[in-house]
Amino acid sequence: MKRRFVSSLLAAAMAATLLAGCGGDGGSKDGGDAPANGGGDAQTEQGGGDISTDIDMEEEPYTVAIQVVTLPGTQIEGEAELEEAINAITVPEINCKIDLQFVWIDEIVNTTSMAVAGGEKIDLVHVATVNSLSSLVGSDILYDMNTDNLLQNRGAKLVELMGDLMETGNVDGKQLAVPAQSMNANANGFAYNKTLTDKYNITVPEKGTMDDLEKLLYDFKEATAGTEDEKVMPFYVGQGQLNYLYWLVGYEGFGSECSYGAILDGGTTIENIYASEMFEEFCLRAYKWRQDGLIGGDPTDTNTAQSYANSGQLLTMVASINEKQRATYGAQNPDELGWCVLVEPRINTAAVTEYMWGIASNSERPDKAMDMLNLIYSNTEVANLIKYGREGINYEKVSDKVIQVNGSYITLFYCGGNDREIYVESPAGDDYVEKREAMEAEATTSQILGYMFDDSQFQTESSVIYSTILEYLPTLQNGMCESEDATKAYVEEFVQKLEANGINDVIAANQQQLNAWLGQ
Amino acid sequence: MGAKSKKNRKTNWKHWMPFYLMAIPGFVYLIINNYMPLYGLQLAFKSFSYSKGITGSDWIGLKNFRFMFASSDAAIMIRNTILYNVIWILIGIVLGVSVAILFNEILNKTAKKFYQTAILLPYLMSMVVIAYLVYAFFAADTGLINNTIVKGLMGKEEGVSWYMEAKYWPFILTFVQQWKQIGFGMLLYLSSLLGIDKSYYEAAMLDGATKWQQIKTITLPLLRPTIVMLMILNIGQIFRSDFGLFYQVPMHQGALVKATETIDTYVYKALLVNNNIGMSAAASFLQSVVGFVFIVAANAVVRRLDKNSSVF
Repeated sequence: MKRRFVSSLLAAAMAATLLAGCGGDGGSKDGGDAPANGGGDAQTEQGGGDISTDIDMEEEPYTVAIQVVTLPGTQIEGEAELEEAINAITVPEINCKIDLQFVWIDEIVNTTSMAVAGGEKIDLVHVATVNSLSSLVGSDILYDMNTDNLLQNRGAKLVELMGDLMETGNVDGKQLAVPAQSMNANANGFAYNKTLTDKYNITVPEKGTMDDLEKLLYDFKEATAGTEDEKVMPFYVGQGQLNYLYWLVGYEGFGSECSYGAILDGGTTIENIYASEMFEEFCLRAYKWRQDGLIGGDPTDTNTAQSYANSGQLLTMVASINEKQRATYGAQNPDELGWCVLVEPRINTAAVTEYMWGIASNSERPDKAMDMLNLIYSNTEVANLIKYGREGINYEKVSDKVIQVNGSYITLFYCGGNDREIYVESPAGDDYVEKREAMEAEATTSQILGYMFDDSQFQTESSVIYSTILEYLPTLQNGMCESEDATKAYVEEFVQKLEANGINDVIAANQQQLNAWLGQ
Repeated sequence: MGAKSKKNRKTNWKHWMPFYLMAIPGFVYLIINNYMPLYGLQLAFKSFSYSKGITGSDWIGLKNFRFMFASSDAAIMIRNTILYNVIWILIGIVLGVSVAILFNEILNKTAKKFYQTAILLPYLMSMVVIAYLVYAFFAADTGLINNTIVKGLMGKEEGVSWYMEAKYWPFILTFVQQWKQIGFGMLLYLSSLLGIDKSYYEAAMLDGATKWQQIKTITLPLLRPTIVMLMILNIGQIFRSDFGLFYQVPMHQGALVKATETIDTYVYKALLVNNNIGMSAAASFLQSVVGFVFIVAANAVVRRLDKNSSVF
């Protein structure tokens, strides 16, 4: 009996230890407990309270680890030489060295959380794209830059450049991130292969609506019937996990794909976009497009719209439209691209939070991390070195501000430095900054710019709601239901499931927080 | 008497000491890999904070477990996880034992090697590769099944959207799982089969027993301890699923979740958005506890029926 009891206990322990791979190693370098305040050293030196505005140039230079996010598969050569070139500037300026941590975009979320949880060396965190601020708010990965007035005292250039945009990284009084770009205006719409539309004499307006997009798709389908371009897909959704309405009609969304609701009318009322008539109409339109052969591929197709467009197999793709996008897309596509604006330029929280910087909560020296970040935005040479590598090795200058990269150093998702000062890539011209500033001036600023929903009390709901969206959205956007009635029924089922999973409670809490924010 | 016993103990100690020494690396590995992470169990009951660490994070009771049952599909994913496992354990035993017995009858060494390699190969393949093999068969436009059987033989020009219809996937997943695992299962049973004394079969043949009678009265009874042990171990995994099989093979298609959602895929998808370590720890903890309960219960049933076949 005793033996059996011991066996059972052992079996229980063994079964429980299967947890080993589930993130149990959540501690830090000191055996499980991360420092409560990574900036302890700096603070102690200053005797508590506000951190000093002066940089201690006598101590050993601290090495700041910064994430530089690249395309999957990118290999960077000459990293040590590049770091040396940067250190030659940063050590005399701020008594810091740099450690460039190149991370592939598909690994950034895990790399960041595991580095922070494991107490690995990490200081400046890429808070952007797939590793967005909204998904990091509840996880306590980011250091509050308001601690000891760190941002105000050591990030003067950042504060000056970003101004009111700083509010977008402030969640519940904590400055968890700072915007990476001072110019954030974006129009939305679609890019199209102008070489092809010109070939078939199809005219596309510079500004339009979804009806203009539909007309283009039908015109192209009709014009190319029986020709060599018949197999070019007019439209493509693919995996369909991003809500295309963002580019086609525009909205102010909260959470991943509006999992915390969206503002549809430019006001301040948050609603469930998936329960709206607009969404159902879009799904029915997608169904019609699928039936008429306008949408190619299906949710199992893992290719991106960009890769199809770059290889001449796709006519249109939804896109954010600004000078930066035009330059980036233009450099990748061998054909001439045209652009049609469906949503007028605007500056909203989503655009500003698309690229941000944060300091890891386990950073040993948040003060030095802030010094480095501040220097990147005040010293163009440092910013250019991180973004583009070394002149003559990684790029050649075309003019004072325009460079031609040679593909040996690609940091596609890295965004840092004063965007009015740093180099731009050809085919952008010397008027790049003027054009961006013009769009900035033309853009409407959202009245809730800077508001961020604190989802820490809704971790469970946010998980299941987003999971539900991923379940239904690809099928609906691809128009894959059997009939119009089946599409309507599927939308209804989708909405019911979202409501069963608590989307209305989350939206209500979001609205409450927004009202409180507006009332401040 | 006492002096002799003391001497024996001393001799025993000297005899066993080298063995204990040899076991030390294994024990150290066991402690580091299997017991030290037990410290992390508390994560399931805490609101994990990256800045406070494991010990410093706040206790929140069972709140992390709530998310496992928060989805309106909670019943579906639990049903899928358990039912697939139950069915696959049964099919795995029948097919594994059958193939092992058939395999044991092959006398030609070259043929034996060929079949062994052929049947084991899928087990060694990555699930991502298998996912694309399955896709090559079932893709709507280019898939082999649609272009040969559905369109060619059945004359159904529009084909079948395999990746949009959940009803096909219990069968596809079952086929793929068995195809991949049968080689390994067969090997385990075959190793037991090879240990059966050949004289039993010779005696049975002398008495005129047919092949089927030999299998029924000699092979299966002697295989029973292996079958029972493997079954109990598999039952311990009943609340878990092969993530690759349920996520990669159906190409993580939302339209198929009714047939492909299991606890592991649910946890993965749900935590994609908020990276909550406490929730994932809770999910895994629950899986471990349920697995433990099932193992103990299954063993208790086996012990009651046949004490010698129980694992503990």
